Amino acid sequence: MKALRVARVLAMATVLAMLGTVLPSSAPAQEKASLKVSIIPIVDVAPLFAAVKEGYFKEQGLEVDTAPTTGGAVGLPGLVAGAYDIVFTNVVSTVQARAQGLPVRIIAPASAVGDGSQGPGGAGILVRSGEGLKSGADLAGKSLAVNTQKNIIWLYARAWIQKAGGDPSKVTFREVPFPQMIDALRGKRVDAVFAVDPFLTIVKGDPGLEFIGSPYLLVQPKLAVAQYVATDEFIKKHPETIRRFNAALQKGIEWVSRRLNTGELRELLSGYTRIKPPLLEKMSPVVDPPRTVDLDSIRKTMALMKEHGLLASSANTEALLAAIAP
Amino acid sequence: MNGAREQFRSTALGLVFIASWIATLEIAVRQQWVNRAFSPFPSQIAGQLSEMLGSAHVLEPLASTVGLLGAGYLSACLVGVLLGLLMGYNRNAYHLLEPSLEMLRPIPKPALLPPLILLLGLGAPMKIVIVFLGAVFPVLINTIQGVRFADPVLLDVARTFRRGVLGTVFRVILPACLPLILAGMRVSLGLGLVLVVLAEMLTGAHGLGAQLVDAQRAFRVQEMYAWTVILAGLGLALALIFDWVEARLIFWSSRR
Amino acid sequence: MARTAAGPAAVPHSALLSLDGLGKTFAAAGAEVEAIRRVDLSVAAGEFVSIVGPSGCGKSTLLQIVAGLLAPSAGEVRLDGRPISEPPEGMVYLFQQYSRSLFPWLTVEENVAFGFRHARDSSRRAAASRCARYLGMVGLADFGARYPWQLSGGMQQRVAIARALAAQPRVLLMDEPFSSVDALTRLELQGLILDLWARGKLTVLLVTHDVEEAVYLSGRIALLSKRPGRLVEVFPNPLPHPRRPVESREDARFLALRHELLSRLLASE
Repeated sequence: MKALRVARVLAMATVLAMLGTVLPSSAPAQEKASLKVSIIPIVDVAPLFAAVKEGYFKEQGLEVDTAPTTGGAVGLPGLVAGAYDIVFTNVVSTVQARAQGLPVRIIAPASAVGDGSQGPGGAGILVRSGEGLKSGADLAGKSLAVNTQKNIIWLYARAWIQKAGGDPSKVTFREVPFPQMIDALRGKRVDAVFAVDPFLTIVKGDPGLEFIGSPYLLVQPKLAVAQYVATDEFIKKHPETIRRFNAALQKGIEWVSRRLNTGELRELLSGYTRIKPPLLEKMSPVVDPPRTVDLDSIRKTMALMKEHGLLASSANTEALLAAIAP
Repeated sequence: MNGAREQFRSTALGLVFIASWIATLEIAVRQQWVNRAFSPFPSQIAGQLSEMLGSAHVLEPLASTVGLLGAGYLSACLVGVLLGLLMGYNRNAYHLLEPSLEMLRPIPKPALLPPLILLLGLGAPMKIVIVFLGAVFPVLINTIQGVRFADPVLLDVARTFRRGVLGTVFRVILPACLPLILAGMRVSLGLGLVLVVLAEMLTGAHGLGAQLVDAQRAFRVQEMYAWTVILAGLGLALALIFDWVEARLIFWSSRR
Repeated sequence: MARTAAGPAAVPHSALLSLDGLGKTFAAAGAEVEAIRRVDLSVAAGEFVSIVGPSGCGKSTLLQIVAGLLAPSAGEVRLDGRPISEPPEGMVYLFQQYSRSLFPWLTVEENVAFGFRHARDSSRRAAASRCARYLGMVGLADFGARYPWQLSGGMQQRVAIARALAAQPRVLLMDEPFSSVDALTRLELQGLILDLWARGKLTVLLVTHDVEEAVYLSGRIALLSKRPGRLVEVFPNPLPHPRRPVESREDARFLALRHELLSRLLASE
């Protein structure tokens, strides 16, 4: 019967396709030409996209394919499972993963908060105007949106609340992806959001929303927020690829560094955040991306993690740091 | 005597099978056949589990999940049965309501989560509503079918003894359809549990689903698996309770 | 008008139940099927009348129309002079499929209680004693707490009878009530029905395919033709009361009437 034959062929094709994705690629275990990179569509990954757009990766013989997620806490498991080769992730998630035995390591810097001299540093707390929420202490009994639980946003929000004299355990933390935070705030699904650019400063001037503080700047200026991470095995197998990735990325960093407040940068951002360029006009100037990974900043972050229960107090900080350092 | 031994053998067979694959898993992880980071030893999970159960850390999320499930599920059963009786009995009611319900029913209920979050926020009301929407349809449809296919002899008995509409519907039709209605309620229970856990996973803060995602975010893999086991246990417990209730309600059904 | 053979109680000659020109046509798969045509019959209070006919002649349909469970296409049924359009007060229909007609989720006693509605304030005890009385009448006094599915077919039919009688109807309509029990049980149940009828106050209309049963039980027998069922003739039954299961069946009058009916039935096939 024809239908039966067609069905059989389809079944075979499906099985073969599935096998193809599961079996290791036939290329010998040398350098990779194409990379799958998990990202969050925020300003921090502008250098990566610049390197793609300007052809820096192609120069190095690399093809970079980006995949958006809601955060490093989601990307890291994907990294270890082999769905991604490299993950853009906040350092708190990286440390936690390593502490739990996941074999991950930083390979390149991504973003850091400035010293505050140029504005909020691309991250801060937004609330609705007129509701009387002015500081971390006022958030008791309210809800605060973070992109994922237990990550750097979550951690520094708690530290900031504490510094303002509040009690973080009285605040309800809700997971909302960055691109949806402003909507959630306006729609009263949450009372406050800890957002990052471009989803933070594009609402500058909106009378209905109010910026009430930057937890990163208040708690730890110059904080190294996020980096690019890969598995130990990947690094061991493809050292040349990693080197080339870094070379291209550094060029991308330079490109962004020279255009911090330009229409060109805003056009690049518009491309991957899907926000229209006119709306990006209101955005504050982007923080200069770091060229290296600041290990000292990570040390301080680990101390804060221990304070807030994200890391066992008995954990060996130096050993962990050595394990994740590039 | 022989019956008891037969039963023991068949149960033992199943248990031996479960024990053997748990043991295989334990060996597999110890030997690193499976990525250790993602699969702790079953013995580790068991240890984590007993620790959690002992510390009553489980009670609050469990109560939250069960409470929301109960609210959504019980209201869905009530509405489903009453509406089903009405629509099954009265042609006009059926033709009035059926097209609208047919539009809602095929929608996979998880797909309703984003719009519901938009409309109702992230708290308890949204979760109760999603459970309700998922649970109401199997009960409703089974009730309607039950009424439609109720034995006409029973209906005629009610007529010859001149029972009124209410008496016929609640004292004859409802008990007669109960087996079918309960079958629908059983499906709804499973569906409701899935939906409430899913909603909790997406919105965080309270309940078993939130705890599961929380453990995942912090890369506490053992704890994550432990929560999964607890969820499985909850599902099993609910199924057993349902069986017990059903047996008591329709003790007569296989004997007609 | 046919003469009725009187039962032990004297019966007034006014029609309690009258069937006037009853006809019924069904629409089945596009075609129209005429089940019965122009049936006229009068039943006086206290009579025991049987309706017999070949299978498919529409006798069950006729009985359901009399019961008010089915609407006629033509004619009307009157109880006490008043036309009926739905099951009326004072009349109960006993189903052929008795085991399906008992509610399996209710005990025997609760099933019997379904036959009458007891007001909320009248005590449970009054209802219970009424159930007990009728269960006793059918010989099931000790079975009140059982469930119908725990009883044999014959016992189930007794429960159905008890339930019908507990409603204290004036007219009892029976649709082939004993066709699915074994021969011996059938004899017992026939005797039971006769006893219950003989206490007076009950008018019975019985549909049966069993000619002997009709002759044994009834005072008059109505013969229906094959489809579409028309009332061919009503036979008075000269067999005297009280009727005995063995002796009456050997009586010459029994045999004569039986002979007549069977011949007519077989001829009409």
